[in-house]
Amino acid sequence: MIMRKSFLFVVMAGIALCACGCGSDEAGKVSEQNSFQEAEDTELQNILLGSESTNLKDIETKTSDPGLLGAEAGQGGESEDGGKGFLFPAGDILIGVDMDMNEIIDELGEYQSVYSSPSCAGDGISYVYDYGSYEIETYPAEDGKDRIAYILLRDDMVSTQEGIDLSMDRESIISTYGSDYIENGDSLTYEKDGAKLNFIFENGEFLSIEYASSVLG
Amino acid sequence: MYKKRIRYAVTVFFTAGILLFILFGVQRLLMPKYVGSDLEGSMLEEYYREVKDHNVVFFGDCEVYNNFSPAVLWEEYGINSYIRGSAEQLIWQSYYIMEETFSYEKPEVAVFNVLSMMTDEPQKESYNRMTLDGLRWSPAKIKCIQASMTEGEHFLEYLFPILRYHDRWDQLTYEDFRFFFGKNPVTFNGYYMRTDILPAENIPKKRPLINYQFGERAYAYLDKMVDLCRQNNVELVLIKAPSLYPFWYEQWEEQIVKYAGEHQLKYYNFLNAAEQIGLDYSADTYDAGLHLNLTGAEKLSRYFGQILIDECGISDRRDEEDLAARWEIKLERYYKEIDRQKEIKE
Repeated sequence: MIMRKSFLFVVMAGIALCACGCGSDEAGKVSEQNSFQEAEDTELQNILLGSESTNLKDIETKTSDPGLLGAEAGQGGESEDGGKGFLFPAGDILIGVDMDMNEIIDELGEYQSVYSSPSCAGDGISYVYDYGSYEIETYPAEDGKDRIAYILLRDDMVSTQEGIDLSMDRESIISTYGSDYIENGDSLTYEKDGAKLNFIFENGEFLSIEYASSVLG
Repeated sequence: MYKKRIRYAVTVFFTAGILLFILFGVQRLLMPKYVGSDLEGSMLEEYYREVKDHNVVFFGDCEVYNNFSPAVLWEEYGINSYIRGSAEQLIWQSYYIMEETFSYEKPEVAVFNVLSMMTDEPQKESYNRMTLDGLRWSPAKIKCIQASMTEGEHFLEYLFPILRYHDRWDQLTYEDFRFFFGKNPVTFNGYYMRTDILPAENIPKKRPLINYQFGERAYAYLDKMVDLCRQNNVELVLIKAPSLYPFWYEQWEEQIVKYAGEHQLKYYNFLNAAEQIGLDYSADTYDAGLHLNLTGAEKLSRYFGQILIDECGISDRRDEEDLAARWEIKLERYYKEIDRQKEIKE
């Protein structure tokens, strides 16, 4: 009798364990990355050919469905999908960090070049788009979208929404953005909604302005 | 009465045993196998199959497991080496993996790739898992988990992975059953082979940083690594692999050069030696300059092998029969894999 009960208990426990599926979305993340392919040859084939899928030519296919755009110029604030913190006027639209790049890429016009940087372990691909005066790097977000990690202003042909460009000095930055900044060497950092706006100086030279997502730490 | 008690105890013991057995089986089934994709998750566990008498052991991230070929080090120099690398291996993970490795063997040289100095905080759970799940239980693994956990991760989930992976039951595939009892190695003494080519083009300009100073935590673990190697009479050699991206900043280089000088360590930056190595970034990389492919890794290994012989005094062991026999089997697999990848590509 005891044996029968014990056996039943073991079987029930096994079934219960197999059936449990109460994990959080977060918990599913690692396991989702491990979808296996059919056979070893096919696996390798996919790896080898997959490396071509990171080819930059394919990037055009990533730009479908322009749909939701960043906030219209002049509106400011946070856009519907990302665009945290300070916003950068890129042509006719305002863009910000954590925004879905695929939704705004058509509006940004043609980029000069793009570099794809696959993660070491197939954890998605980062893209660096060079628009000449500025550069955008994306990161593969957990929702599968390519979101903006940073926007980097490299010359004085572009400026922040508040009018700061690389021809200006520290004092102009402080008089525009105020004194609530973090100083790191010569550089200044302002924070808003978890995102950063970095004014980067090196040896007294104003090198770049960077809108940085919190994913960069 | 006495017999009844005995029978009861045996039944309870037996039942608990079966339950544990089932739990272990279910856990094993649910854990990712890292075979089809994310092979990097399989790398560290392969070390335990090895005869542990290596002259040189590499530690670090993808810049070691992609860029050095132990097969070339053996064939050309008789150096018996192994790469204990994993994806985005952080410096504290390299340190604890080194500690664990030294509990098995004391190589003449431990090679550490310094790129991970740029990271001072735990990063992503998925990368942690790929490094930590493959390690055998040891005091080093426990400390490594504690140092690596990101917010929201729990030690218990590492101790009992079923707590972490229990919801994979509806994603199980044929492969989970196929590799339930074991799997073939995915590396060649820790080297991850790729024979394809994607030329390095459009490398972005350097992104100026707000702060180039390596973090205190990174330095603390580098200090610990130096001490650990000295205590175990192992020479620590620092390297920077010749990957073009992510950037290796001059300011970082200066810090490493200074550190190496202060601690009497050898440091080789292969980025600066790309020409002498003979690297052609239009042919020797499979992902546009991030990692070297087979031809690149073989060139770099030839170059570094000579350094290991000339400057670190590593001896040629090709006259050791047992070892040579082991390598014969390894090399056969290595060349078969090259042919296989080429056939698939064609």
